[in-house]
Amino acid sequence: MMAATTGRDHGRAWQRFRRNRSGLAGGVVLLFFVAVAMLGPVIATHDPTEQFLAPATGGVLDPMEPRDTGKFEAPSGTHLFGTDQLARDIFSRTLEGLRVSLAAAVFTVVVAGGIGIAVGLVAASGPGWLDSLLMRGTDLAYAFPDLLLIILLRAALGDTFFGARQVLGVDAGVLLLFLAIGFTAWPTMARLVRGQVLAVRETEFSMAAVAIGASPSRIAIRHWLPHAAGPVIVEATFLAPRAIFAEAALSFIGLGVSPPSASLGVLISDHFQFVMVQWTALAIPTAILALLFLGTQYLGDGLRDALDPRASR
Amino acid sequence: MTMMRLPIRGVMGVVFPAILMILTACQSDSSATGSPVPEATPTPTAAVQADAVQTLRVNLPGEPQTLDPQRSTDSVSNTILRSIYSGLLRVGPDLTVQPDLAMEVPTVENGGISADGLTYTFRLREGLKWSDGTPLVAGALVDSARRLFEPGATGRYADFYRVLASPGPDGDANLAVRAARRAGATADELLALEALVQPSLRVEAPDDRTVVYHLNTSTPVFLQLAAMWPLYPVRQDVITAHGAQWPEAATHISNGPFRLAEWQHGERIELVRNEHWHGEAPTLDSIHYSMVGEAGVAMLAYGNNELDIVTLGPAELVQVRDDLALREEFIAYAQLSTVGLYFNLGDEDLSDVRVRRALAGGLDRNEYAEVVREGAVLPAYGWVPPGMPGHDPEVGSQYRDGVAAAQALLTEAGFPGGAGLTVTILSVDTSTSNLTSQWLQQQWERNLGVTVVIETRDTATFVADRLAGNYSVVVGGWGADYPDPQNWLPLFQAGGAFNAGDFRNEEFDRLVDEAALELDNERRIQLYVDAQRILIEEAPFTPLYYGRRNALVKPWVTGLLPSSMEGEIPGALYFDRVVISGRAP
Amino acid sequence: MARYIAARLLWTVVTLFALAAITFALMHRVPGGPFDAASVDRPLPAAVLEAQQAYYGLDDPVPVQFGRYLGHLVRGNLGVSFAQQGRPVTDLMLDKMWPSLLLGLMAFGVVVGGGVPLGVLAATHRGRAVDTVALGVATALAAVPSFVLAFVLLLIFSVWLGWTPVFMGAGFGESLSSLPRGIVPAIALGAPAMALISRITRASMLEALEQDYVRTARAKGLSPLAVTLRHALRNALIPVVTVLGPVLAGLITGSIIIESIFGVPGIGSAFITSVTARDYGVIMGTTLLYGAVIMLVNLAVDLAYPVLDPRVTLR
Repeated sequence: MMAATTGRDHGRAWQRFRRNRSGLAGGVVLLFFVAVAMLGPVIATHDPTEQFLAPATGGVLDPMEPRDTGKFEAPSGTHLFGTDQLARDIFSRTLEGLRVSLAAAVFTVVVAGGIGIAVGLVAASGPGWLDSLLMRGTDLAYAFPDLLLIILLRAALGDTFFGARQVLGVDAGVLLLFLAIGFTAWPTMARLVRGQVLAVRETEFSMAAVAIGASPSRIAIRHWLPHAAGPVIVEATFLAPRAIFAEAALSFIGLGVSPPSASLGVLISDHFQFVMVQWTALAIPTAILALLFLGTQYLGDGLRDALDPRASR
Repeated sequence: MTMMRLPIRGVMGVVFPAILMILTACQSDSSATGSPVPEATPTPTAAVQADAVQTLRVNLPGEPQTLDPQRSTDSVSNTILRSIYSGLLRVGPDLTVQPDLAMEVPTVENGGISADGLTYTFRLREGLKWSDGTPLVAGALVDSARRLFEPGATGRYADFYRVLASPGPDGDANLAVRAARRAGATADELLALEALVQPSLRVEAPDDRTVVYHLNTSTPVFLQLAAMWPLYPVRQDVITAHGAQWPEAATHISNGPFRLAEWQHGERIELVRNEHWHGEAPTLDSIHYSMVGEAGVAMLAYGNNELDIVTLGPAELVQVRDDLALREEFIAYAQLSTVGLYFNLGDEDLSDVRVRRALAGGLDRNEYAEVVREGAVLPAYGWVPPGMPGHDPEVGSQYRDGVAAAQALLTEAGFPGGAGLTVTILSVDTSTSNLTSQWLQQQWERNLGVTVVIETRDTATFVADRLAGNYSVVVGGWGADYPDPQNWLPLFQAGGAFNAGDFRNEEFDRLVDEAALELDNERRIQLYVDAQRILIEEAPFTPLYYGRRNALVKPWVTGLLPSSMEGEIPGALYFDRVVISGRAP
Repeated sequence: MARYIAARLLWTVVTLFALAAITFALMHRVPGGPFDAASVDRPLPAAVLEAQQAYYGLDDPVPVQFGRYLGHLVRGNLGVSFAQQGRPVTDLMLDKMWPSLLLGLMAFGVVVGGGVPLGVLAATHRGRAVDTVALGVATALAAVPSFVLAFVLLLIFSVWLGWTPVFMGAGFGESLSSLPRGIVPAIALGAPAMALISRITRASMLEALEQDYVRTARAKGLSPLAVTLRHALRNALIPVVTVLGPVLAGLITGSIIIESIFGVPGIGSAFITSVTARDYGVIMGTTLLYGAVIMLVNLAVDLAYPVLDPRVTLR
């Protein structure tokens, strides 16, 4: 069966999804983290950037002499997840990082999804030469060195987002970095949409729509695009954690966001530096990222099964 | 020494530890009291039984930029260069110059230095050889001096040697270059002037065992300059035959205790003993340098006995402190280096000296050294570090406990309570520089009420932004090339090759110029101290910390001689004395 | 067929040209130049810098420089590395390519050898514990950032078990005996792709197992193993192969993080170093190499389709 998705189908899809335990579990995990992130400012016990360094005495010059620094503390009642290399509260920073990373990941999905859907749809529904041109452009984007683009974007815009230092409570530098990641992630989406639309293009109902004189763009958006919705949603689900991973890697190689912005990537790469001193500081944000990843994987699989009945049984 | 090396957060094959980290290390209370001599010196060589396998395994923080002595400017390259070359003189562990290729250190008494101080004559030892066994003659030293001034390729270290005479019809070309710099000449004018230097350079080899350097200015520190890598002899025939590629392992020929056997770029370097070296033959057969940038990974390798020596970052220091066994292998000592904050003098707000003084005073340097850096560094108030003539603990004392005064200065400058002042810290994204920037941010926001923004950039963008003046503050520093304030103060003279902020102060320039010509050492040092007072008071730069080195050394590395002026690896200046004895299998 | 290949190759050349042009323009737009990175603490005075740029022809307009670059490129000359004292880029890349290629192939072995069996196992045991465990293992390896995974693997294999040196990458690829050292880095490198492949294999395998011919084969009384391997797997591999193409291209062109942690002197670290040092020649060289590998591998995948699935014809 290859009909366009209808309201009735959505109802069935939901029924199918509800029966998928792992998909449901993935969704619950994600919802939990989203809720925690949104409640973050309320739950946070400390200011995420405040340093609780112990005062210096001015006399402890020997590095081997034990001292109280307030740094690298293990989880305790005061600091639930311990403290970091500047004696900041890791619990509060993790909440902040989660919020920032989730918001930025959604942003990446919007950017990559927007470009990818537009390019894929136009390529599949337009004339052959346009298709070829856009697909070669996609090839090009695949092969393009992402790092150069990221460095260029940051150099061009600084740590501001077209003048603003903060957008929707997220530091502009973070958004910019994820914007760059989004720019490098759209080709997959474009190919996917194009493939889906090409498959539905030749079916009877599109022929019928053409026959009754519907405008091409109307057909593309009203009939072909919904057909691609399932795979697009699944791909978008997978893209979100990939963006967070990409940001962690960039942080690690020294191309991350400017401090003191916190994101999961910043926390992981910062805490990696002192893992042998306080491993819990690394384990916590890493575990959260892993759960986010697993959650989206299972959710994505569940959605795929639910939205594409062929694959489910 | 040298530039502190590139910081790219410890990753990717070429990973340089943070600048700061490099300079960092070192404990030792000796640096506080002014003695540069390391306190922690492993067992002497004489009594030990040497192992059959004599290989030392160490880690470099990154890839050397070049192993061409006349082109090198970075401390990683110099770390290797000083093991594979011998110069006319060598700096000893007590920081005095000692003869190396030369038979003796020239003095006025032995006739090596002319009475007017303008001619230095070095008599070479007999039977000197290159690592390929061919005889080394004085002409090789003339070649190296000439290469230093090759037009178009002049590295910044050429500027240290503008004292070499280069008389032309329009006066001395080297002096002309220096004057043009100070006057702010254009690139074309400078290039044209620099081209005049080489043809008339007065470095001569009257016979195969004598080299004579004529100076245009009496320069008491010339002996120190003669011990530095830019004047190491070179094989012009090898360079002519292989071009810019000559420093590769296949074609590299040198004259030091070791020679270059292998250079896998970005991965490893191997030096082996040079059988033709004129000095007492090293016991070590070879030295392996790996290039792993992650401090954590290097630490694991040390624990696994894959490295014999490892330098410690801030987190590793805490790890060692909590580990009784590792503490036994810990050494720490002073480095002649100073790191601090360069202010943007072109910035509208910071062009006001009161704002700069307020920022300089609004910091608790003890907290930085003791708590943030775990005692890996010492709080700094002056420019010339302890352990060097010209260091004066009174310099910069106005910034001790200076928060109240800083607040008053800000109000005076029109920023009451810090309101209206935004300070941008420009930095590269490394763990150490992020640590420093965020600490500075909290200090200034908390103590002065100003708004502080941190902008991290990749290395090249950082330099571009700095050149374009898109910053208020950058963190940077200097390490000694030779233990004399003459290596430190001229950096801030107008037109100086390293005066990035273009600081200009006539009184400062005058004092430094006067000191350069002063033959009475006591007065000379006093002039430098006076100049330093102006520098710290005018605050184009404010010191934050003095460097120290903190490292772990395996007990079987004996005879290691740490130095306050070494490159990137503890004891690297004197690896020829190291003996491996009793290495664990 | 030959015409198809020729047309695709032509497109590849055109795309590579566009890639070269855009990269060239962009890298000159990025602030900072090749002589800046070396002077992080104390930038060269502008005057000295200009003199140096003039010396290397970097003060010409970018299109002029690009023309000159293309002229050299068609003659097989990729220029020189500024960061390495004028070392030819071809020489440098040949040096770095070998370890990356070897490690990438080993990682590819991990991806295929681990991902496909895990996926098959999960599919044939659908809904049972084996399914959960097989998929869980593959996914968990991909769920942590690669530098964390790499460090944990180092701790396990080098520090606790003592099976491999910490500097695993040192000398990798120089001799046959150095190859086993690549196993742990290859696992770290291949883990994310392995998770992907196992999931795709599972999904595609599930679909194949439902097909009529598989049911027929089963009804005929063939052993489950034979049915799985001979009938279902072959068809299930088609979507897997399409993904394996880009995966292979990604693996053999080097990974910055894995190379840096394990000390492998590969092309990934060469690329990042060149970007941050604005070493123009090396940026161009590595970008073109990466682009060419990706496009050629994709072409190979497209050519493999008809072989795997007779219903597909190339157009």
